[in-house]
Amino acid sequence: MRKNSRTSSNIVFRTFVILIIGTVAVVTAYLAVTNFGHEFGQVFGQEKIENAGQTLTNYEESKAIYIGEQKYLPDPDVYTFLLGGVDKFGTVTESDSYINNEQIDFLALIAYDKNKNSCKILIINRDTMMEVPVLGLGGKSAGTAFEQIALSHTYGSGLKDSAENTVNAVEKLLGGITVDNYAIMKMDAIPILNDMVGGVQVVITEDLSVIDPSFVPANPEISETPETAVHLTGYLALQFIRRRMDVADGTNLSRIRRQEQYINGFYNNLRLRVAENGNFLVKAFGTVEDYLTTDCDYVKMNEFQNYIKTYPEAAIFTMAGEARQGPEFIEFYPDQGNLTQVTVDLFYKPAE
Amino acid sequence: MKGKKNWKVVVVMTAVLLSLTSAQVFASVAPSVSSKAAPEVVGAATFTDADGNPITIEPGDIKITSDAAEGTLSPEEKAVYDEAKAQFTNPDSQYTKDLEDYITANFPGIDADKVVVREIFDIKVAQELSFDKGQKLELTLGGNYKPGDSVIVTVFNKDTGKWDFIESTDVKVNADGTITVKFPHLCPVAILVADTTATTATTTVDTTKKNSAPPAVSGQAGGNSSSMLIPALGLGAVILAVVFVALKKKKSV
Repeated sequence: MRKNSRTSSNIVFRTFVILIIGTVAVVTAYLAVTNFGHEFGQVFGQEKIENAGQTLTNYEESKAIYIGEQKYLPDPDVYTFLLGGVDKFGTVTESDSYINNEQIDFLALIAYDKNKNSCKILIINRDTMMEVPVLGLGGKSAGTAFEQIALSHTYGSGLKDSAENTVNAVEKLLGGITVDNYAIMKMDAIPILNDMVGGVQVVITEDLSVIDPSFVPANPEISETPETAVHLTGYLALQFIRRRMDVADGTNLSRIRRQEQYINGFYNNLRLRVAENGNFLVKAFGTVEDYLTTDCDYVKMNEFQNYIKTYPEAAIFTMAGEARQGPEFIEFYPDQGNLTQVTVDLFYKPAE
Repeated sequence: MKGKKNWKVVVVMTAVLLSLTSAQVFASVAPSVSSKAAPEVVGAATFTDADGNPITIEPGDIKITSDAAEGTLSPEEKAVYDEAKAQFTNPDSQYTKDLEDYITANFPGIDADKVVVREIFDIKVAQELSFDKGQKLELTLGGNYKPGDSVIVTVFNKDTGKWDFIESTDVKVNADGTITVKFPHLCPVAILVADTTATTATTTVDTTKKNSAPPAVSGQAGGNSSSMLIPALGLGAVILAVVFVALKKKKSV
């Protein structure tokens, strides 16, 4: 009996060891492919992610996108406005160098389609890997670097040259579209604009108690209300959309989900304010002008305001893809098929 | 005794598995990119002395001062740096003439007007190095260059007041984007590239006819799909370990 007991115990032990070794092997293989899979061009059967651009001589063809046999061209009846935030506080100041340390933390491209009477907002992940345009000494174009789009703003003096390099990167990311106008702001602008539109109401869907103790999802077993709705004011708004490392699961994708909700609420409130006050946007831009880089003059601001006022509520879009650990930092690889389709849906029309 | 040994093996293997799974969890909260003002030295550098003997210099003994931090240079070094940098913005400078000659000789298909300064910085080595007999310092610098890029490295010669172009055979763009350079002397360094972006129309969106019909538009973020799998595996291993220990104890009672 004792011998049988020892034998069965050994069998159990060996089985357990085999399970452990097998699990370690699977985990190691998965981590290896996840971290280095892009170098081999494929990750677990997903589509090969590559920059599939080509050299084209004809201007129209250079902008064309083909899906199957259907050709699409940029829609001239779509007005686009790029809204961005850099990850620094303080007023806009010129760097002492040909580069600066202000990275893009947030990018949203608004598209007003005059024919479809629609407003669509595409949120672009700051960790999106692409051939980012590089500016060298004197602000001259110095090739490209395959890196996160967040770094597009670090080239240049931190003023309009850096903002326009970011615009250039976004245009490149989206098939060569043209961004009509832009506004890139420092972090200080966000609480101010948030409060000018009357604050933004959001629903807490994950544990954000590190931002505020009340920012926890509702527990249906003990709470009378089905969800935790909070009204964001001041710097709480900034923390809600900006904080990443020590909240929820710490990923930028989680932060984008919060930004998506926030933008929806902010934009709806902005529409209300603009409807009440025909001078609202000019006043808002003026209030944050020390923290803002924009190509909008008074005429352009009014044009943008008219779009906000006359078009319906925005539909928010984000980019599908995969976030991976790079050699040092997180890298986001957009799903090319989804990116192509979203680009066509928001900014293109079928060629006649 | 054997039981105790088995138990130790199980504990070690479980710890290994947990550390692997927790590494994946921590990877999902890894930092987002932050910019670097100047390239970093990758690995140790090698200085070949006058007798041809290689001397290893550790990265910690090499200091790279970015353009933004030039104010931290000594007054003498800053004066040299400013003099060197000013030549790039002066179309009548000796640099402009030397660049044309260098490009014609080494990169005949490239227009010198398309060559721009991509980076400029200062390099200093903690130990005294002599370059008077053709010695060279081989350094690998971090970067985001691509094999095939026309990368030109120049070093300012404070004795002659000119930018010296490093032989193209002494500049290598590596597959990982770094560049390995053999410096004939040190001073401010500038890395030049030939900008070809204006002549190509590459885009990130796939514009070719090879596209099959894409999936239905959802426009929703894909999310990090593996974030729960690995911790679940780790938890499963812990449960197995606890069950095993419980069974062992039960049998020994």
